[in-house]
Amino acid sequence: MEDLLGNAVEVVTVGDAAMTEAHEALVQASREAMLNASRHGGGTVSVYLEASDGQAEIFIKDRGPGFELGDVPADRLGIRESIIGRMKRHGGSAAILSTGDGTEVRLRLPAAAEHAEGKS
Amino acid sequence: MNTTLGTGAGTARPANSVRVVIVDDHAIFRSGLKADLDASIHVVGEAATVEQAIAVIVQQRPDVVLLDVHLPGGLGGGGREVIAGSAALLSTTRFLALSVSDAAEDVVAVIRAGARGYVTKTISGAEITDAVFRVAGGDAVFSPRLAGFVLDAFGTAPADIADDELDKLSARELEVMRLIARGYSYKEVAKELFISIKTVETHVSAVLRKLQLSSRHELTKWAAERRLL
Repeated sequence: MEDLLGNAVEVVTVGDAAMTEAHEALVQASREAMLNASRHGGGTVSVYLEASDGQAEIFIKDRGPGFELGDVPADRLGIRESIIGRMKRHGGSAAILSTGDGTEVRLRLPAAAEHAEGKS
Repeated sequence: MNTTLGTGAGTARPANSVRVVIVDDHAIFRSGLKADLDASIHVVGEAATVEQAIAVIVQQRPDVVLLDVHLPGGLGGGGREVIAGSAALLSTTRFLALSVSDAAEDVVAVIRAGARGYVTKTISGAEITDAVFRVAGGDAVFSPRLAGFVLDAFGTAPADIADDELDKLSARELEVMRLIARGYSYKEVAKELFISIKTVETHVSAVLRKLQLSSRHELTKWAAERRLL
């Protein structure tokens, strides 16, 4: 990812959990968020993953100029579909917090979510 | 080892300038770092090995030593050995560990030897300058990675009243560590938690103290195991 986009990405992980299909969706959603952070954000991209028996959370933070979700054209599906939609379909959630100092994407997947729904 | 621990509270930025020694076995990294540091930071010495480092630190008595975790020479102990060898100066000279290494064992070892913080080498010139002033002022500097190590080592559940206070983090300390691990600056942590930057510094210093003094054997065991991953 760093080689692809030229931004530094610092990844910190805490804890461990068995991978499930829903976790795969979490990984894909965070990949999309990291690409966005590198492309449109700026500075070092910080990625924090915390996994436990109860849930998995990933936070992706950049130091770019920020944006309004409402200002994103309707035909751009990266955030709506690949991040928010994907997390919802797999029983998780996504929140995006953006200010002039940067953007943080917060992804959360409860452990029970893998039973909530199957494939997307 | 614990001689510096009480000094975290009061002091702000030292008046004018800070005297620094850079210890790293790569000359190119040393000169690059020197060029990146703010003009108010005076590099008064450099060293490339454990022996050179101890000699120049004892001779120059700098305010801050920027210390690579991995160094040739000595008994093979790297940065940890440099701190141990300059232990008599720990009340006046602060150590900031600098590394590209992911090995928790090594990072935890330098912190437990007495370093006031740990940053990765990807840090910018402005950030490292800020970190140097912070450490010189007696505060602790935690990079996201160190915060992650701490969360992993101490666990992410807050302390019970029954726990030995050195073996667990308080709920507030956990919150601060999580935000730092997420890439938040001290200023952003303060804003997010509605507390002052000074309070953030106090929490971070408290965590540093636990990391240095906790006798829980799991800490060393955890770090050793983590290396195998």
